Amino acid sequence: MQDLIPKTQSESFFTKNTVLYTGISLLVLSAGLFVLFQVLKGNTEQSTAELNTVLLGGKTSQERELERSVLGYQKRIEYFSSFLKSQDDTLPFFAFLEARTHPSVFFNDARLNVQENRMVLSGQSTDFGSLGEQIASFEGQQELRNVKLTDVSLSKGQVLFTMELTFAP
Amino acid sequence: MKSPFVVIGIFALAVIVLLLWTWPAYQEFSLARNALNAAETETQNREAYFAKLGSLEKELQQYPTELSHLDSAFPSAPNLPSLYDTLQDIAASSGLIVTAVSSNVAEDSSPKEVEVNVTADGAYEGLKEFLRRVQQSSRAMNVTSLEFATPREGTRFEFHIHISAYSL
Repeated sequence: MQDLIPKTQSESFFTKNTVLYTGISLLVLSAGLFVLFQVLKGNTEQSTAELNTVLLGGKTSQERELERSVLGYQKRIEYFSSFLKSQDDTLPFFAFLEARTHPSVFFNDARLNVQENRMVLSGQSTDFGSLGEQIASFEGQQELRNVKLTDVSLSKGQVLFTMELTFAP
Repeated sequence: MKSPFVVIGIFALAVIVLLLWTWPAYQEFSLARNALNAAETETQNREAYFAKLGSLEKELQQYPTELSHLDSAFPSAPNLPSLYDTLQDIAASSGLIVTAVSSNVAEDSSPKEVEVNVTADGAYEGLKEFLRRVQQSSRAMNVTSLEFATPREGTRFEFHIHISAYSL
């Protein structure tokens, strides 16, 4: 039976064009993004591989030479600086002995350890008094930290001795 | 075309493509991008390092005399013949005669230490001159210890001198 007045046919939610087109757009967009990300990933991986090839290739001979030269001088400067600070002067030990040796005392054997500031002297004197004066003379000096008489004996009228001098650093 | 099933199907397909293809593709791209950033940073650091070395090299070249002194003080290798020659020259110019020389190189030290044992004949004044010249030598050297005794005959002593020299 036909209506006298036709009813307007209302479209359901799912049949509206806008919904349909939105779905299609979403699908196309998703697919497009997928393709885009694949292409970008491929390009990125290629760039990474090229950089890694350069990095893994190591240093060129020119770079190695440059590094060896500059770092070598850096080391030399460091060593030289610490060498100057720690360089030991041996001459003051002898200057000290030349100035402080008693006229009746003769040293005939000397062993100097510069790093330990220690000198072992063996010698002889004409009498015990001179040796005592020699030790007293050494003990009063600020250059010395310690004077130790390690051996004393009498032989053929001469006093034989060994003493150890520790100098102040 | 406007059937509800078609619309639902298109939406479902779009969601499936988004979740199963596009999102994982994006994550993979992100990882690749991070790897590229790391490689780029490493490359830039390397370039900056060598650029810095290059500028230091240019700066160093402005001091050729000082560099030459440093080369002499701390040569690249122990170079024993040259070291012995230097010591022999110093001894001769101090009035001492070198009668024996031996050495030992401590490879594991930094700088490498060359322990040289020198036996020399001469006068006491010669010893002092020798010590002075060793100290002033262009090669970095330290007298670490020495021994000598009064000669039984004559005035010439026999000195046993232990010296440390260095190399890179």
